[in-house]
Amino acid sequence: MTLSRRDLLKAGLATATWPSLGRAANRGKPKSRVIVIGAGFGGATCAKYLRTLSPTTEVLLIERRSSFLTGPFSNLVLAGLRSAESVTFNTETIGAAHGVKTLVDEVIVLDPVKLSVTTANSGSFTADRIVVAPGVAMRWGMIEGLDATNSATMPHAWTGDGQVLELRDRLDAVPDGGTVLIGAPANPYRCPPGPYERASLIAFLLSRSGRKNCKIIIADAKDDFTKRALFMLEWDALYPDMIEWLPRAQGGEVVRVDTSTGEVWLRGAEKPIVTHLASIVPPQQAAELATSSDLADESGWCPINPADFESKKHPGVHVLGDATIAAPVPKSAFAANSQAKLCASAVAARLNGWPAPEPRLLNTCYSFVSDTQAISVSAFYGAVDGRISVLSDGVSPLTGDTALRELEAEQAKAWYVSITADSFGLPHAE
Amino acid sequence: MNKSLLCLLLAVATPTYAAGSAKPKAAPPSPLALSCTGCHQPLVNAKEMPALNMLTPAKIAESLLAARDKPKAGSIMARFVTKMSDAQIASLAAELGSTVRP
Ligand SMILES: Cc1cc2nc3c(=O)[nH]c(=O)nc-3n(C[C@H](O)[C@H](O)[C@H](O)COP(=O)(O)OP(=O)(O)OC[C@H]3O[C@@H](n4cnc5c(N)ncnc54)[C@H](O)[C@@H]3O)c2cc1C
Ligand code: HEC
Repeated sequence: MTLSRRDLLKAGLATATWPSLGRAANRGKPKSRVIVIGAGFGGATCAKYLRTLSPTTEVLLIERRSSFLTGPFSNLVLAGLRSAESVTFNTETIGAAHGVKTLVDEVIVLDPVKLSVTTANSGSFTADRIVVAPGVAMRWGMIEGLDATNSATMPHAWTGDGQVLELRDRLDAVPDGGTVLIGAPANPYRCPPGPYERASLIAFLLSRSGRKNCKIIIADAKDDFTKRALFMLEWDALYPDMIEWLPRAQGGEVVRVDTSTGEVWLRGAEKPIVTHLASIVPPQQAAELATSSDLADESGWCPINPADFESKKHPGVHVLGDATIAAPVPKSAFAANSQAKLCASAVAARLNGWPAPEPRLLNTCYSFVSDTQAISVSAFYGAVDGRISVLSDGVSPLTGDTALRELEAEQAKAWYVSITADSFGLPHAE
Repeated sequence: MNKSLLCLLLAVATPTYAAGSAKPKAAPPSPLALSCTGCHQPLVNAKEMPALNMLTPAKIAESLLAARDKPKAGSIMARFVTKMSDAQIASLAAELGSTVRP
C-alpha cells in the first residue's frame, strides 16, 4: 500500500507545502520563512511587522480561534457600556488586513529543535524561526472544587471567550443587597489591574441599576495591587461601602469553592461566603503549547532573552506576550504589542544581516473606574545585559480631579481604537 | 485631501526600504518609535493621540522637550520622556516625523 500525500499530511508525517501567499507572492521568491503562532495582540502584531520590516520573509500566522474577544474593554462589556461585537475580532480578517497568510487551526505539536509545527487539520510546516504568542492557561487544581469543566459557573471571563457573556448575563440576576465575589490571583497573571477594574465597573453597573446595597468582595491572594491607592480613593468617592478588598494577610485567598451552591471558602475561614455571583480568576501559567513544547520553565512561564524575545531554552524560537517572563513589564495587551515590534525588528535584522535594534519597550494600562472616568500607569523599559529595567514611569496623580479622570477615559478609548487597529487591522466600527 | 485619508495612504505605502537588498535603504524604524504608534496610530490618527507622521520632527521634539522639562499635571507623555536626553529626543523625533510608516 502506498500512502498518499494527504494521508501523510493527516498523520503529520509530511511537510505541507506553504500555502500560497496571494498578493504577497508577487514580491519574488522568499528568502526566509517565519511561523507565528497565536493571533492575539502579540502574534498578530509580530506577523504584521515581520511582513513590513522584512519583505523577503514569508510569514504564516496560525491561530486556533476563528474569532475572540479582547481582554481590554471586556470589563466595559460586563457593565453594559460596550457591545460584545465591538470587542470581537475575526482571525481571517486580521490576516487579510496584514497581508499575511493565515490558518485558523490549532498547533498540536511544536518541535523547538527541528523548528517544525504540526497542526490539527492542515499538516506540518517548517520555518527558519518560529514565534509563539499563545497567551495564558489557567492553573487548575489550586482551588479545590474549581476546574475547566465547571469554571463557567463562576466565570473568570479572562480568556476572551463565551465566559464574558456568561458573566455579563449573570450580573443581571444579582438582587439588590446581593453579594458578588471576585477572586483575584497571586502574581504573575494576565492584566494586573483587571480584577480591580472589574470590581469598579460591576459597582458602577449595580449602583446605576438601583442595586446600591450590593456588596462586592475582592478576595485577593496577594497583599497589594497595581494603582491600589488610586482605585481605593475612587471607590470611596464613587461607590461608598460597596467594594471590600480582602488582602491575603486578612485571609483573602480563595482556597475552595462549591460551584453548585455559590459558596466560596477563604484561607483559614471556618464558614464559606455565600455569593449570588462569583467570578473566580484562577492562578495562571503560560498556555499549554508553551508547556508541551518545552518553552516554559518550572515556574510555568517562558524564559526569554529580552533583547529579541528569543527563548532561553530553544534558540530559533521566540516567545511573546503574556506567556513570557518579562517582569517588570506587566502581562498586558500594550506590552505584547510592544514586545512584538521589538521581536519583529530583531528577527528581521537577523534574517537580513542588519545590526540588532535597540531593545526598548513601552507600556500603559488604562483602567476604567466608572463609565466616564479612568486612571492609568505607564513605563518605558530598556533591556541591558539580559535584564529588563524601568527607565522611567508614572501613574495618574492621586490628586487628579474629575476632569482629568474624564480626559483619561477619552484617552483610553482612543488607545483601544489605536492598539486594535495596529494589532488587528483597520479600525473596527463601535 | 483630508488629513485622515492622507494618513491612510501613508500608512499603506510601501516599506521604507527595498525588498531583497542586503542593507535597508534607510534604517528601519527603531522598536521604540514603533511602540509610540501603539497610541499614535497612523491608521487612526485619534484626536487624543495624533499620528506622529503628520507632524514635523521639530514639532515632535518641541512637545517631548516640553513634556520632559515642564510636564503638565497628569501628562502621559512625561512618563516616557523624563529620562531621555536631548539627543535621544532629537533622534526619535527625526524618525517619527519622517520614516515610520507602519
Ligand atoms: C479583563 C481583562 C482586561 C484587560 N484589560 C487590558 C487593558 O486595558 N490593557 C491592556 O494592555 N491589556 C489588558 N488585558 C490583557 C490582555 O488581554 C493580554 O495581556 C493580551 O491579550 C496578551 O496578548 P498575547 O498575544 O500574549 O495573548 P492572547 O491575546 O491571549 O493571544 C494568544 C492567542 O494564541 C492562540 N493560541 C494558543 N495556543 C494555540 C495553539 N496551540 N494553536 C493556535 N493558536 C493558539 C489563542 O487562541 C489566542 O488567541 C486585559 C485582560 C483581561 C482578561
Ligand atoms: C499610552 C499612549 C501613548 C503612548 C505610548 C505615547 N503617547 Fe504621545 N501622547 C499621548 C497623549 C495622551 C498625548 C496628549 C498629551 C499628554 O497627555 O501628554 C500625547 C502627545 C504627544 C505629542 C504631542 C502631540 C501634538 O499634537 O502636539 C507628541 C509629539 C507625542 N505624544 C510623541 C510620542 C512619542 C515620541 C512616543 C513614543 C516614545 C509617544 N508619544 C508615546 C499618548 C501616548
